[in-house]
Amino acid sequence: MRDVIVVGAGGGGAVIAKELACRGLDVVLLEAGPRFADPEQDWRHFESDANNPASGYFRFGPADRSRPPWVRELAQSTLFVQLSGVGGTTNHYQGNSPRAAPGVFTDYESADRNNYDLDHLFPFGYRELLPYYEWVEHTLPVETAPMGVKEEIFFRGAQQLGLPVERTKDITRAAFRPQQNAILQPRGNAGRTSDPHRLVFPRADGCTFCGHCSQGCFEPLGAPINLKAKRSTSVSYIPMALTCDHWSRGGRAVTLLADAFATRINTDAQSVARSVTWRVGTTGEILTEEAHVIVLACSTVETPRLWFNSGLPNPNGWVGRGLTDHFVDAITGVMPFDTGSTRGPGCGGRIDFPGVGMLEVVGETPGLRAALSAFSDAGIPGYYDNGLPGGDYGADTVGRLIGTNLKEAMSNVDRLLNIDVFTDDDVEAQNRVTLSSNYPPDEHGAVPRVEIHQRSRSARTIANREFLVQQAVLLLRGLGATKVHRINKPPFVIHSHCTMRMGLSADDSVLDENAEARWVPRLFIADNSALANGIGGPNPTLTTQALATRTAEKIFQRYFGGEPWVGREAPVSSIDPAVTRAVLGH
Amino acid sequence: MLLLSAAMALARATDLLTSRGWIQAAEVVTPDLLHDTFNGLLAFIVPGPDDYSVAQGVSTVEPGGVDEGVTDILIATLDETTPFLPQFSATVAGILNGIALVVNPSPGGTFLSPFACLSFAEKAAVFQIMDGTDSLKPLAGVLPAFVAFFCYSEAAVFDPVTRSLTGHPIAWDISSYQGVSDGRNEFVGYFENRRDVR
Repeated sequence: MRDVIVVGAGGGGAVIAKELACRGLDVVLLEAGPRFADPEQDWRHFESDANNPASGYFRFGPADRSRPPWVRELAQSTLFVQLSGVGGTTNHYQGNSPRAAPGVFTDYESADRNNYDLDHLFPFGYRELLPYYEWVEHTLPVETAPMGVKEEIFFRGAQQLGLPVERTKDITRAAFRPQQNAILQPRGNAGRTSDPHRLVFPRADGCTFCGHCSQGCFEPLGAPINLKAKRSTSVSYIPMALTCDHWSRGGRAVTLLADAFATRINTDAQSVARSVTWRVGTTGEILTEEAHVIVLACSTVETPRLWFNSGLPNPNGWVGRGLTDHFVDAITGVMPFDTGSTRGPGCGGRIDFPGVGMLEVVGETPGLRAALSAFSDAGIPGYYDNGLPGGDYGADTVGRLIGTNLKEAMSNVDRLLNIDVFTDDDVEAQNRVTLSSNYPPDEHGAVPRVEIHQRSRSARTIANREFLVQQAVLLLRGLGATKVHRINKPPFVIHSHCTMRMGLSADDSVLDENAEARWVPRLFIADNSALANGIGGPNPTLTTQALATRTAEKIFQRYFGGEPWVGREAPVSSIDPAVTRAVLGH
Repeated sequence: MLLLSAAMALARATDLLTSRGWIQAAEVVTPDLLHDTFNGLLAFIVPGPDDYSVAQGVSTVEPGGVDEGVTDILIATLDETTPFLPQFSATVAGILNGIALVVNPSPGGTFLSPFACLSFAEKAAVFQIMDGTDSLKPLAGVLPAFVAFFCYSEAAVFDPVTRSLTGHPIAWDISSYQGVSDGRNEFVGYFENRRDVR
């Protein structure tokens, strides 16, 4: 009998495992995908190695790359970006770690309060979450992003729109800002040279501006794993979890099992969670282990799938419902000057429009940039528009970039300025995860089905997205773009939330205010699916990590008789010398 | 994942598509026809100076997808992604060619593939039909992005065994990309010289 079994070692699961292990609990952390223990060996800068949809090391699939990826039914044309493996999708993310919009919590009283999705607020106040944000921001750590060329240009464009700069971590008004990123700031030679001999740790420390966030960060070369620049949980929380018996008084190292796909949560006659069953990928062995508490952190798709496949109760029908994805769009400007689009961190700048959403300046390597430019729901410009509503707002094209449009835009990828649109979208029951009746089950049971009704979103959601698109086009035109392309994307799910949401009302939520399942005692959820809403548009990872930290405290207090620690103790940073010594085995 | 989903949607609708004459049976797609079809698709998404691009009436001086030599990789990846659907690439080719004959029953041209013989506008019409058909919409959505990824990444010269490049990627030339690196001289400072906020 273990104290806690956490299912999923991604952005949320790694956090809750580390926090509880530091309290001395016996924690097992299961991960379906690969281990990723040595980023310098496991990863490369090549897109073909990382991002190949069939065999890339960043996919939702098994560690053995000769085997196909795991199946999901997508009921519509959708790109759903989720990775398996220790670190989960944080291995692929750009480290953006903004706080949520305060307007999505119950204690928000400002004049624009009604601009938010008032029916689906968090079941507690923003002020309650602040200490947990601070704890995570210190642990990762989160730092103010430095500028590359694209950020410098983007900020100039934002100023031309008349926007002020935000100088707090909170969202207080419509404003632009350097991102708060879970990426170590550049020191030494980092960011100042492309000479590989001068980029070895410790001569280079922090972000080297290599431009390969999407292929996984293993820079600077030679750095201990906990000192890699981008703070994916695989290099921050996981090394801490595995060594907390060395640097945390009373801590107990987490038992991490990769290649372990959870297939069932077992309950007793009173519907109390008792054990987890999983399948070992390489051997096919089926194992079951009991625990006092079970935490699901498998993702917004796999957590409801596991719930359904376990036959757990769903009396109000909200398991899997309410998927929010920020109704993403993308606007690309072709600029008459260098933008450094492929250089530096993926995203170092953003504009918040509280109650509406967010714009981010983003850069990618050319293969991903071209693919994203050709991924649209609005047909082919000049030929057909697919009947999709949405204005051009002065953009030259709306739709899929192919043929000479794509060739011309891609002729110099470092003259593109790409702005991604993240909408404050409403929680809607119609957007959901269920089990597929069309696809055969795989070795882990019935496969999930993702259903997103792109063309019948709420009026507020649609209006918010159109406003943000208009602002992005204005910004690019103001900077002198010679061409502006609106892609008008189908569901491009790089942020997903709420499919097992916590909420004020038991009628439309699965979790109570402590992230414990309403109908299954001792079962908690700690991934993005637990979020009550789309947090207003900002990237969700930091908020999920803050919430997971809060949930760890709730578990420790309720089931292990412990005391809370956030606000009472000083957090230890994942780059603390004591952690480094432990990681190095000293 | 998107490819898988597109493949499964297709698998469920094969009978319907066949009854409409929109799909040629995968078994009749020969290797030459397969290559011809995907070359026609590559020219549509990323045109170049090659014969397929010239034939569609939209070509460029700079190299395009056909010149990069990614046709085999494209076909192999389609099949690897969907091992439970034998010859998925042939099924895709069958659809493109089947609908091509609906758009233009006598496309002319010298290629084996009806799709490859279409003009650029006619190829766009093929995608319009696919976009307007529920079972084909996922495929219409993913194919252009899939092809674009292979044309603009290092796929043509990437050796998966050594995980290194066997030559210089044309993709990097046609996108003016400086190539992979462990770092860049790109740091320009902090906004307002501010390294922290409260």
